[in-house]
Amino acid sequence: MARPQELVESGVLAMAVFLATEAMLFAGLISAFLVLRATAPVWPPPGQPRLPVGVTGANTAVLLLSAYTMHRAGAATRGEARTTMLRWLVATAALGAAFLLVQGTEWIALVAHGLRASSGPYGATFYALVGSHGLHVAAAVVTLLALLPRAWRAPSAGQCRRRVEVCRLYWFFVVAVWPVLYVLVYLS
Amino acid sequence: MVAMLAAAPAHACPACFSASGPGVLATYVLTAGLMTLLPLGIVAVFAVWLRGRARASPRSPEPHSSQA
Repeated sequence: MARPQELVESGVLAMAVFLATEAMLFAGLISAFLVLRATAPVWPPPGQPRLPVGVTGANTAVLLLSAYTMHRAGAATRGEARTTMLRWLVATAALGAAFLLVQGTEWIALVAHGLRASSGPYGATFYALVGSHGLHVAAAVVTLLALLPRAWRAPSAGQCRRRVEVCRLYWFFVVAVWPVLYVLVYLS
Repeated sequence: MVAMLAAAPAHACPACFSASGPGVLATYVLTAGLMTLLPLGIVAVFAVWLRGRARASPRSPEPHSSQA
């Protein structure tokens, strides 16, 4: 008996459900941030260091660029050479790692200037929101790095299409969340 | 949502009851709306996406009818 055709691949479906839960996680964190901010008499509180808006803006551009390279990697699984797909995947992982490196450097400087998670609602919400996103980017980079050896050994780019598609969905989600957080936490 | 917007202020909720001003109350309403509507939005987007996939996918061949 012939197997019925899948409407959505099981890996893609699982990732879509997972991303729905992730969206609720970030919605909860954003709600907590908005409420704490609205109830604070002054925001940001006096005596707390100002956030590096310019550097993080440039870092946002780096993350947005990684969405483009990930898109190209996904497109390369449809008929292009395996090396082309590998190049785009490596570029995506490198851009994600660069984003994390800059974020980490920022956090070290902010901690040195006295902004800690224990220093009040400002620090707590900053590290909860931005830290959660950073963990997600780190998970995305690790997943991509784990995919690279498989992609290297695969006889063709098309053989990796399903795995790349799942990674791509997660990557797009992580990239899409960041501009919202940047505007809320850094610009408003 | 209608019940939430009609109640002014919702004294049953300690957070709304302790709201210190219209700005804070508006934030509570905004965040409650976000947390209420987001799951519904996700389900709606998912349904539209599945419908699009179903329309785009080639139809499976009709099962063979029994011949007399």
